[in-house]
Amino acid sequence: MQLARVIGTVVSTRKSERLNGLKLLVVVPIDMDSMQEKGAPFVTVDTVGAGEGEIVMWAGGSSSRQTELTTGKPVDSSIIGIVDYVDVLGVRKFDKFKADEAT
Amino acid sequence: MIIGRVVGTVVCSVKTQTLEGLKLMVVRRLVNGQEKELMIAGDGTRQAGIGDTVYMIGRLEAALQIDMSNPPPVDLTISGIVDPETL
Amino acid sequence: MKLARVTGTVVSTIKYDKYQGIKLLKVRHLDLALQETGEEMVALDAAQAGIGDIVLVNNDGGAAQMILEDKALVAGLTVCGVVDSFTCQGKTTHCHG
Repeated sequence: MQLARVIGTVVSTRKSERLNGLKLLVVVPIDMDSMQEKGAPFVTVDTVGAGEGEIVMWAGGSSSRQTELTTGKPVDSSIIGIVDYVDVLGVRKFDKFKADEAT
Repeated sequence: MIIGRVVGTVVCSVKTQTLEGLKLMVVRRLVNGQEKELMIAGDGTRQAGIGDTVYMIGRLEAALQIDMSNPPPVDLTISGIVDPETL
Repeated sequence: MKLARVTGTVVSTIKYDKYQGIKLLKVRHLDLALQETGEEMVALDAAQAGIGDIVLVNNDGGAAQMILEDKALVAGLTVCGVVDSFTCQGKTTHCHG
């Protein structure tokens, strides 16, 4: 799994029927060393009610289809959690509640 | 399977239901002993701690290794901890 | 999934059996400013996409089997949706015409 920040939404009417009902979000990868955005944005499927600005954890490949919302759906990645904390070697690198205060 | 060193944890209170109870570890990938990027892995051993050298399985096998009958959406799982004295 | 632009079609008579009857498209990935990035690649079409369309490209073989309703299909990239619009940080980009 990796981290990403939600930055937007996608609307698509003409699509594989099996994608109907899924919420498509634009996310940008977060490098866990710097906790900064790094890499190309991509489109993924929300399974947890994530909102713009939130740091989320996503899974890729067939693992991303092991959720109630994505079972049997043709997705290649999905958001599986909204991140509260990231702790690395005793340092709190991310704290959702402090980040919320800051904004 | 790939090799890494456990360096931290991730906590999500809002998450897919099948992730409940699974510890999420931040792991520094090691390639031929060289430190590479950080990744998040589910702790299939339930015993991994900071500093442990571990090996991890990816793809759907990661989910099946956590729970064959109700696999969670994880794409990387810690399969085992390398005995430190053998490093 | 990634955003991409359909840059062309691929006509191929000799191909993997399972690709018979499926439209093949040339696609190039896009950044959020709709600038093309990376190399041109070939994807199977499952969204009746045409040249110039901004599309969602799925990169998973298992998903491709679901999208094209064939459990024995072996595929990589699949065009699974035509994007109407996307909104990032309050700015909406419309993708038609």
